[in-house]
Amino acid sequence: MTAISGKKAKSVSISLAVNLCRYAFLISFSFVLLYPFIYILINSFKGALDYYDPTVQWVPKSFQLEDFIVYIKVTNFWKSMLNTFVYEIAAALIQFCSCAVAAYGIARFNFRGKRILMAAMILNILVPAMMIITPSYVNFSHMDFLGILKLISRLIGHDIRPNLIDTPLVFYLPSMLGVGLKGGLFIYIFSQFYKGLPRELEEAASIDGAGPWKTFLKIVLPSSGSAAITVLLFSIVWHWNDYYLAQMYNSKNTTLAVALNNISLNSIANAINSGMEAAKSSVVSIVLAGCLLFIIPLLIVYVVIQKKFIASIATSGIVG
Amino acid sequence: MKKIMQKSLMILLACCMMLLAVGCNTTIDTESISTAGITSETSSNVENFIDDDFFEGEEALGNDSDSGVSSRTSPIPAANVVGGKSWADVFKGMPSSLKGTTLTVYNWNAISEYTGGANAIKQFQKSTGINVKWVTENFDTYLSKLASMVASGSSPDLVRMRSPLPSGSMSVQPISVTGYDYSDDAWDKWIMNSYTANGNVYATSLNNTLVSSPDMIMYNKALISKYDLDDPYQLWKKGQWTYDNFIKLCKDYKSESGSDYAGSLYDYSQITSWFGVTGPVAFDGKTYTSTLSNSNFISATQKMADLRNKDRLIKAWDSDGFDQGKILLWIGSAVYTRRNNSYFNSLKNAGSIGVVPCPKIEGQSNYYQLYSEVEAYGIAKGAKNPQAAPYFLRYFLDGSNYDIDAYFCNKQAVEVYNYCTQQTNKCWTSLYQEQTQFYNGAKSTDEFNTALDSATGAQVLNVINSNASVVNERVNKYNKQLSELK
Repeated sequence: MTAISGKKAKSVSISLAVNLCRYAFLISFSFVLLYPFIYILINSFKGALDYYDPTVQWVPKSFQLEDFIVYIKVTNFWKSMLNTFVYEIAAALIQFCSCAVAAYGIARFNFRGKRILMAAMILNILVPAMMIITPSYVNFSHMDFLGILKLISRLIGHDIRPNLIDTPLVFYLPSMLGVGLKGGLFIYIFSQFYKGLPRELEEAASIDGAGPWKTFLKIVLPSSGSAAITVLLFSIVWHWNDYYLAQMYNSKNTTLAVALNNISLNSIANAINSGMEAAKSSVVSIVLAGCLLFIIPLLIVYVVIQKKFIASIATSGIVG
Repeated sequence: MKKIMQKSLMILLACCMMLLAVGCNTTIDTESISTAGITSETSSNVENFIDDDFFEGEEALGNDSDSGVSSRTSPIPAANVVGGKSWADVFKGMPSSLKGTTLTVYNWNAISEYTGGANAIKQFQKSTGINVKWVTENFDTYLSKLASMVASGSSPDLVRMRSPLPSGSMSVQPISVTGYDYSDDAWDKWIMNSYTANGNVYATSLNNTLVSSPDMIMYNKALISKYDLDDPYQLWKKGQWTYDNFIKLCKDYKSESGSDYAGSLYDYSQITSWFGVTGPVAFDGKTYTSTLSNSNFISATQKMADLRNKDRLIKAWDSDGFDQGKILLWIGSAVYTRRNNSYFNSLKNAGSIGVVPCPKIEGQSNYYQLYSEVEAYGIAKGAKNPQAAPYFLRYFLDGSNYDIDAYFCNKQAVEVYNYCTQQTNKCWTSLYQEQTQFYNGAKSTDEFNTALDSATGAQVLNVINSNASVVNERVNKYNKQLSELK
């Protein structure tokens, strides 16, 4: 009995020690991950006085919203948000649709040039946008297809190639063709998922007279809930956070990411010049308020669909 | 029982985390620095430039029935008078074909950064009939966007230049394309020499312009009073603002305040430049060379390393700490002392910002005025209206078109600015650092920089010797780019 209770005590203490280490690790890790967010949260509600007060660290003496007000004013926040939805989120949704279709073709059909297309898809994943930004910019500024418009322009003596820079098409066109932001990755995710679907479903649809489109829309797409959620979420998040392409292709209609990045001096100087006393607060606290406003919509989206997203991660096997 | 234990453990660990978070605190100072928002002195003629669309990146400044030239509150100081031909004479020589044309200016600063700049441009438009379009691009994407615009045939005309390195000049052409004679005294020959490669001049600026950015030292006057330290400005006026007194001030501040550091800057080559060295890479107007074997460079770098990692007097990139009153000094360009921008607003509002030039080095015959940023402009390749560029620059950069009292945050800044811009021995900072930004796309990713950042003076020689090949490779790359400039 003594030996048994001794063994039991030992196993309990080992279990306790393991649990202790596990929780300590998890809490420490969570602290590292949450610290920036907590920092942003606390400091964005500090007013200028609290921010510069060295005795105030984690608990502001008073919660102020002046930094949010300044940020909203100096960045034309609502207009920037509208631009984000019009240019980026719309492109994200278009890309979601186009990548689903492209992936189905790659997953289910064999055709000449399929390997080349798959290689192009891999290149789209591997090659960063910065490397090809200059030729892309030239391409969009004089949009052409196989040089046809250029030939016509030479004949008529007037350049008819449209300039897509600073227009929504510079985002929509690549998305429509599945080569937008991370398009290759989304096609890959979808195609891997479709390969895992049983062919019997599609064969049954084919027997019933459904063509490829109908099969895709009625059978395959409804079955790809988990992959679709994954791609949709990634697409929205990456487009929401896209700064580089928005800055390069569309500097006239600033999105939230561009506005947040550009806020440091010029806009605040404008606000000061226009008599906004609150703008004389620290740039950092205003930027932190902007960061909070920037990530809140994403947090809401994630909270709403997190269960389905986690399930889809497990199903599709894609992490990070 | 197990569940209760688990829950208790979770609560305990959560409390520990909370305590840790609360405990992450600097030394509590019961006397907080006053940040009462004393209304800044503003001239009645401060430019209140409001543009709801300023984030669109383009500001088309059309003719405006707005006010005329800002009347100055004081006569233009002699130090800010542009030499050479007067504006009236320059304007007489302007071709009439330029009237009605548009000049596109490409800059990473919005026009609002230049207090009175928008008004100066409006007056320029009225006088000359040349329309000005001011395009602002973010600093990070500045060069790649410019290269893209040039490649696509939509180049701007006038381009604000970054540091005089070949990679920054790839999208510009020699200024001789404007057909203007830059030989008179109005034009800054040092800048033109700095941007000369293969016998071609790629950028220029005006002498005695208000918008230049010599490096200087800003300090917190409230902290000087609080700890009863020697005021650097008073020391400078007495001719006692030397390197040794600078070190003494930093040490006194540290011991009195208990602060970790006394001052901050954004690049360590700002201090080595006081000794006349620009860092590991130097440019003599024709070729780039490595300075690693230069005894002056080694000595300056050792002093800098000790300041940073042994005496721990100076650290990098803590402008916020200076703004919050946690450190005494900030070593930076004159941009920080301009009245209407967001740098150090709390100190400016409280009237606590003091300005002093960089200290003289004992035993050194020359005083080097360092520049980390200049207001140099070049002509983009494919520019459609390059001929209008020199007339715009002659007007826009002319200090007589601005109210100097409204431009800087206080008279001390004006005095120090004028002193700095009159110095004859000028030295670039950050040449090497700037190039690592272009090359790697990120700051301080170079192994050499990283090793230097953490070395003490005694270790500097080892770091230099073990990274000589890195610097030599970089020098070869710069010279190759230089040869490709056309």
